[in-house]
Amino acid sequence: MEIDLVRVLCAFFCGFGLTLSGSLCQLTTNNSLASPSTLGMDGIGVGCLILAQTFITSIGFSWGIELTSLGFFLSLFSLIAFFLLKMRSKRLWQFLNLKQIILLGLAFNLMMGAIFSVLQFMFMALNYDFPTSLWFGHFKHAESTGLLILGLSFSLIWIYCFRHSEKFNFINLGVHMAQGMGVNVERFQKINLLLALFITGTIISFFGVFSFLGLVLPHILRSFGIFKINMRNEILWGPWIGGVVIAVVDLACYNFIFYGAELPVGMISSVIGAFSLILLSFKMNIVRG
Amino acid sequence: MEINLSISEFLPGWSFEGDIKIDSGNAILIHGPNGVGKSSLLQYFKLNHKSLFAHRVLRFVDQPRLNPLNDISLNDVIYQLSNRGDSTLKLFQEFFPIVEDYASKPLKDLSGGQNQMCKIMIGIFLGGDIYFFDEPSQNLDDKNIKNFSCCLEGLKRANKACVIIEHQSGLIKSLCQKSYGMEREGSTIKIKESHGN
Repeated sequence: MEIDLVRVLCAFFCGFGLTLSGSLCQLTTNNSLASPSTLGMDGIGVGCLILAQTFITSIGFSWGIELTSLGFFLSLFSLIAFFLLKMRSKRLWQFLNLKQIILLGLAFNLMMGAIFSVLQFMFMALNYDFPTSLWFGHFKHAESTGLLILGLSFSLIWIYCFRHSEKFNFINLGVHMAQGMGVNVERFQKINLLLALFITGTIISFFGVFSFLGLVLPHILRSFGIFKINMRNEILWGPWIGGVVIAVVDLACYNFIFYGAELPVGMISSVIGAFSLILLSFKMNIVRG
Repeated sequence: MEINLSISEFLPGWSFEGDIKIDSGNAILIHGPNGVGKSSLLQYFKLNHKSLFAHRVLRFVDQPRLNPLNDISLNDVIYQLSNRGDSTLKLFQEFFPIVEDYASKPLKDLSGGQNQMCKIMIGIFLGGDIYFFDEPSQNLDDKNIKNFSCCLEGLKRANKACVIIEHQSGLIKSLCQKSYGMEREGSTIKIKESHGN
């Protein structure tokens, strides 16, 4: 069995980040259906990827698509963060409830999927290359730059979660309960959702889309006793397990070639995740009114 | 500890008249008709706790039920959270037998009244300086209203200040040292001390 250490570590941090962002979304909103995919964060990442590819093709820019996409994403992220934290978004925040946000997020993701298909068609009609492989995430082009950015930023986010772990326990009991225990819920929600967006966007820029893994992984973790009774365990130790799982799946994809082609890890993990979620839904009542 | 709360406006477009006095070791009752803004007043306290109550630790026991993502029970919640080394820990141990029967059941499976008692017990466990209860007797049967009254007496004994928002008078009102009535007059909300116990 061959092992590419940079690639294994990239896969680990990807799984780490996806689990962390899924847990952040679900714990922060106290809703088991919230995830980077359902809240439209995937769509923002894909939008930046499309923009980067269009930019590179039309200008003839020599930078790699990863860093160009990350550049677009960070610019957009700064704008969103400024709007949410500094501008008067309070009225908008109160106006939108979570069900509306999830519906808007799903609609946004679908729209991005449609734009992706249209652009793919146009690129093909004009005989340009289009990175269709990015639609399913993979680590074929894993490099030390991506590893460094992911490793450093995700570690800092994990430390932030460690410092605020008790707030996650309060918010798990309900938004009102957390507010009553002195947590500035609105600010905490905004910061956590921004962190989840940052994690998702960075992963998509470097390795493509891993649809719904952020939704599935926290649910799988929560079916085990140690994560079931304490949210602190989920937010602190869950990402490490998610990271190991994705690294192992990627190692299998890397070593077992299917008809001369390497299967994208995003596709395999999404299929396994979807089946696990179906099995879990029989075991427990995931979708609650 | 004695706090005099002078509030000029807590709902946009409505002026507010009257003061509320909160003392440690005492309980006050705020009552009034539906829609007068009692819960909004509590929400105002919650959102402006730093400017109104400085460094004091507030504990709110609201109406919405506990609805966690995982299947945790009251015992799990207590295991997760930490007490502030407050005198209420003894009180918690004293009153724990009230909820002992369902303390290990998932919170999602509890009835409204059991859930309400769990919230009260969590508040007591965590400790604090001022306790706010929003319609605590809602969902409670006569036996649990008596249990809540015992908890209230215990908090007063531990020198905590309690603010209770309640529709019905009766047993809870008789445990409060002061009672404030809220009413609306035009675009003004007035709060008046209605009786001393």
